Amino acid sequence: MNYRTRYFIYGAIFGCFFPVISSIVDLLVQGLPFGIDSILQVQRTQPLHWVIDSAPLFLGVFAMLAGIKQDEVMQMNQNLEKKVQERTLDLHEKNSELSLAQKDLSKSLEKISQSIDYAQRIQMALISNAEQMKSDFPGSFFLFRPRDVVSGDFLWYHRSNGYVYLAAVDCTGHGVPGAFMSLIGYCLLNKITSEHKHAGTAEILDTIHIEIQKILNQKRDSEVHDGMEMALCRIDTKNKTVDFSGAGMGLCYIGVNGEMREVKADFFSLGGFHFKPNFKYSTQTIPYNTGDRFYMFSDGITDQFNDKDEKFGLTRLRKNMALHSNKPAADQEKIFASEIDNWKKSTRQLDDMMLAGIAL
Amino acid sequence: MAEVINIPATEDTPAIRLDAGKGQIEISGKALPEDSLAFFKPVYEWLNEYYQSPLNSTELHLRLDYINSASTRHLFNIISGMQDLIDKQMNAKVIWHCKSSDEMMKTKGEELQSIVDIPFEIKEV
Repeated sequence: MNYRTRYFIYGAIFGCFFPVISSIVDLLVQGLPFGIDSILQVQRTQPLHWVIDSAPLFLGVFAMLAGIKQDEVMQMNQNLEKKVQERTLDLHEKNSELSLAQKDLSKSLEKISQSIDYAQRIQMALISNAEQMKSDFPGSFFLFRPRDVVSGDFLWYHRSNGYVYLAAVDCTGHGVPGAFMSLIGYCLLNKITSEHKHAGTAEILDTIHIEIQKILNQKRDSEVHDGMEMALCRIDTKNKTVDFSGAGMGLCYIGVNGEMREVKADFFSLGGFHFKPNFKYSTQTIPYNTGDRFYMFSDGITDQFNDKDEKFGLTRLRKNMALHSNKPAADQEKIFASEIDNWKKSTRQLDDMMLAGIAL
Repeated sequence: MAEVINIPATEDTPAIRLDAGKGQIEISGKALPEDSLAFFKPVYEWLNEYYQSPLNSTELHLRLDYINSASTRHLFNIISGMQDLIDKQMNAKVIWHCKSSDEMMKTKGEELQSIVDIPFEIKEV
């Protein structure tokens, strides 16, 4: 039974008391005996009773009005409960969808990570070049901090044609695209130095630039402009000279006497298009003394922010080079690593980092 | 075509404002998108449209705190678009805004200034 009916009945029953009591009172007042006849008589003679007799109806109706409200509230409650149940069900479904998606995601992540880890092994085989450099030039070190697992930065070390070639290379991008570019750079360096035995460093850079354009089918309007910055040295240990050519990456040279010299690179990096169509790279020849050192590094170090949004900067790096260039290689590597760590702290690393220190 | 494009900055990408009515291109913030081509594509589309009927004077405002090497190459393209405008006898200018404390961006601006043949102003703030 709904509330409106129930309340109407309660109201009407309660309303019945009024005519009953008023009739009894009237019988008592008039001193009439109890009985149907006397009751009918007082009802007939006293019009006030007619009003009182309507009490069951009015009270019943008023109570029903309250009952209607109550019914509405109940209805609303039921609707709300239904909605809550629906939502709960929805949420359960979403939850299980989410946990499925999460499982998918972690599976994908695991697969990608494994794939990249494997790729890293291939890339590390190239970077092991640094070990040969360290054994040929004791006192040299290579600090290598890829942003992701694989890297667009790499060091290339090669002995041939009576020279020692050394290149620090920073490819556009980092992670997987950077690593793809590093393979192109690595192979081109090997190919060009073996095919053009007498090529100077500038010619090597000129050739790499054209080769990258060919390999990636780069024209001025094409979408892929990728390439690399490179500091390339050819060390002639007999005549004690270093030929240097730079494509967007310079050299910091510190003499055994402690004098520091900045060897600037040409602005243009390799690959993509140059503003000046007939641009040719330049070479600088630096005579050296045993014990001189030079450093090559990628801008991942100098461009790294700290938690105050300041960059590590070239000045800080140079200062550290001047301070520590006399120290043993292993110590230097540790010092530079901790300088970078202390700067970076928990700030995220934005690019691959590499610093090669060579003791001649 | 949208006369004005506003791309808000994110953690990895700069804010970009392209206003054909004022002839202004503004790039500000940090540019290190994972996919630089996808990021700069709307800019190229807008520029190609703009070059159909450019204003007599175009300004490229660069307020960069960081730019990775892949994005730098897109910047070259945009700057060489300014060069094309000048070749067509119109006015174009690059304004490189940088913090005086940021030696890296200042140097980058100076290097760019030295290789382009168009008006290139460096404003330190």
